[in-house]
Amino acid sequence: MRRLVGLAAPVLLLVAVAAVGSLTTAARQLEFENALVKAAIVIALYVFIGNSGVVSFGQVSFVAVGAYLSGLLTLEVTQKSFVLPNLIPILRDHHVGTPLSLVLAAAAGGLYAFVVGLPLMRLSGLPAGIATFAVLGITYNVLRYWEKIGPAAQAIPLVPESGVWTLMTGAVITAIVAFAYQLSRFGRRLRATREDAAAAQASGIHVYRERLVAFTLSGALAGFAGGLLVHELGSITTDQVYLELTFITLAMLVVGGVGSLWGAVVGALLISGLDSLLGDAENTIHVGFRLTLPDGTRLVTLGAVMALVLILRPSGLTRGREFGLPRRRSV
Amino acid sequence: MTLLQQLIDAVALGALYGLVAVGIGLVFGIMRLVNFAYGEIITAGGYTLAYLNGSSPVVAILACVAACIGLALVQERVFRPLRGASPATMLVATFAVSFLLQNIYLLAFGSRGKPVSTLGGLNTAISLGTLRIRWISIVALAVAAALLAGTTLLLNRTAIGLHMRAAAADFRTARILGVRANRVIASSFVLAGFLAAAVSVLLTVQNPLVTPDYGVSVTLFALVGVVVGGLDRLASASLGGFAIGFAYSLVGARLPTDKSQYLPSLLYGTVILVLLLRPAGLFAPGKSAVERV
Amino acid sequence: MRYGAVPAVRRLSFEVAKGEIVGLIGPNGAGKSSTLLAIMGVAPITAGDIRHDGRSVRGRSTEEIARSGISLVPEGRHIFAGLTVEENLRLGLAGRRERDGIDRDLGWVSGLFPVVHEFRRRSAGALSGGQQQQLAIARALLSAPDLLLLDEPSLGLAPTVVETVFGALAEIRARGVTILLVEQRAQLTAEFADRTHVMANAELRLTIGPDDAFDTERLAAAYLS
Repeated sequence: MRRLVGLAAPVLLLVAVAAVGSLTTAARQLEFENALVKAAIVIALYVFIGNSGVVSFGQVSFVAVGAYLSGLLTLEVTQKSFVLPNLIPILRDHHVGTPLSLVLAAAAGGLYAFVVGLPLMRLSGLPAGIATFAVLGITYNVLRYWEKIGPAAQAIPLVPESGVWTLMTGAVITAIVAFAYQLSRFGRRLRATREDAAAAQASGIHVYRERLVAFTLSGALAGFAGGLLVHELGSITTDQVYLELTFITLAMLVVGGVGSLWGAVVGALLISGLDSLLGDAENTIHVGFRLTLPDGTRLVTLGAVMALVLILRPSGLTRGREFGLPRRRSV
Repeated sequence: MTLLQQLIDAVALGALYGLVAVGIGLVFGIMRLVNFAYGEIITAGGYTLAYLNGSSPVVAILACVAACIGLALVQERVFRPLRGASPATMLVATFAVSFLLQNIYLLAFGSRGKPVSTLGGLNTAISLGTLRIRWISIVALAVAAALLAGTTLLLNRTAIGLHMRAAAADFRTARILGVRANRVIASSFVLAGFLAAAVSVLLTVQNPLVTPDYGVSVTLFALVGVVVGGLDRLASASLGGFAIGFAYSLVGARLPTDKSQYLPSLLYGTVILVLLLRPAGLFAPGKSAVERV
Repeated sequence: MRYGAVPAVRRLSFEVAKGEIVGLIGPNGAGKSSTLLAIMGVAPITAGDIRHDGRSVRGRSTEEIARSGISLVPEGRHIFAGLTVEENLRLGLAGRRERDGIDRDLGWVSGLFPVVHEFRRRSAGALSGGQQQQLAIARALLSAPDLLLLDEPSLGLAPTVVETVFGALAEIRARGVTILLVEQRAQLTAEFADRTHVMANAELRLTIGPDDAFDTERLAAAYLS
């Protein structure tokens, strides 16, 4: 029962963010929605990276696949055939509601992750990082040019947009699944391999298999989050699911604390908040005195802050621990 | 363009990527740090050249070298707290610094790009029979070869080079013997910065427009090449960089345009294959199976 | 000092006077290696102090300590297998305080350990265990230390090689170098050193002289305490 606090804290935080967001202006609300979607993506990243200790640069591939699939399926058929005539029939001639598209996005993300993970989960450390990065490169490249599965260089237009509560629900679902996984036998076994893979293997844990399970689940959640992303933005382009998103979500995870769900959520929301604050400061804010940042310093400041935290406190803001009530001291 | 010309261009590009690979491998060998922000040093060199467009090439090049080494030393100082951190943290932290620097360039110089005209004359070609070779290809090769030879000499014949090789092999024991950790690491950054300057000078001849993300793709590909070639030894790392540059140039030149769009995927796919079959690197000696966990 | 939650050395206090050979023996895990590592600044000191020539080593970096006249021959030798014997030796010069006398010292170590000169161009990884141990000591000597620390030099060596090594140690002391010797070979060390401290369970238990080297009962009692 105590352990559920570890889930309650991130969920409550997400709900709080959504609540505040729903009370603000429409323009502002977008920023809150974006923060919630980022949180979902970072949670998906955490499920694999946090539990296995293996850095993957490729998870955004699954976000991309989910975003594209979900976006394309929720477009009006007539519009689709006109704007994107080269799509394969399955995508072009069908239309589904948003919730179903999210489920399909998760399935697609999971399937893609499974196929990629089959060969790749034998790797760790730097080779794993490079190989997963290569997957990201391939995904970007293919989506950019293959007109049969997407708009290629153009954006998918006119995707129906979801509201802040829907997106929050999506994020909360991701958190619950992630938490359930880390409490499960699968999750615990994988975490054992994080510190010392050889020792875990020697005690009978099948490292490859556990990693594949986590990678697939992470891919499914990432696909799901991709579906959320495309419905938050109302469109999607390949550049939006490539290097910058990979970097930002990874940094959010590491800044928050790689090893815990709480860290993932805190990192995502905090950095999103900082980003918004800096965006405001470019238009002058009052913090006791008037502060106006020159245009463009927002990204610089954000990058500097993230670099600083990463360098000075590598275990992240939460030090990789879940949110917990103070323990009773043993006498 | 005939096959021979394409080969020459490919070798020249491979040489450049090989240099970048050495720059990355030098620092990695000693600090176990993969520096994603290395490309930003090349970009800094490019911008320096751009701002000195009217001056004599010698002045421009010297300024470029100074700027690159300067930025390299700043990076060394910034990355100091990362010594001994986990590989995951290191990767993301250097990624963060790379992101930061790119945005600083964006802020300072705008997104449009600045043209470099220094040494532009090297773009002219000489004719050898039916062959037309641009001067820059020859110069790039010669410079890269000279720098590689110079680096090897430095590592093998000087005291500091000996200390660097020892630090790369066994950092703790080297310190026990009195090798100065800070000095060795700083030296590797200085050398890497010098190589980056050379790369920026050569690269701006063929790609004269310097944008904030100028050094990014070169670094990415070279990094991939380093890992594929074999991280643990400078020789295999530089060979890996060369191989990637060579392959990219040659295959890009020989594929018809509609297929060449997917060239990156082809390269990435090959990289994955190599990593699966020989995780220690293509050119690493001996075992193909490292700790298989 | 401690490794994580477990203290590696809990109670230890002794002095080494100039020109002495002091031994440190005890069962595995007694804290002997940790003591040497603490002197070199490789392992952090959590309480107490270590002073060399009146100066504390606390807070100083390993390489600085190495450059102040203390040399360590680490357990397992830690030879640079990829470098030549000669290059390994040259690395030893890194800790040297004065630049002159290099050739003279090179000559001296070649005399002590002829194998080091004979195989100078060979890759150090090609040497046998005993030869590597001699190389490691020669390398440490080239920094012209006042104090030479050795961590289990006889480990894995054949008896004849052990004799050569200990003979060399006597010559090294005759040259004026102070020696602190950590060893597994209890009796050999106790006989050889001026004084030998026995550590067990992270603490100092007993101090003996050469005459007590064969008092096995006392030794065993100290080991098991």
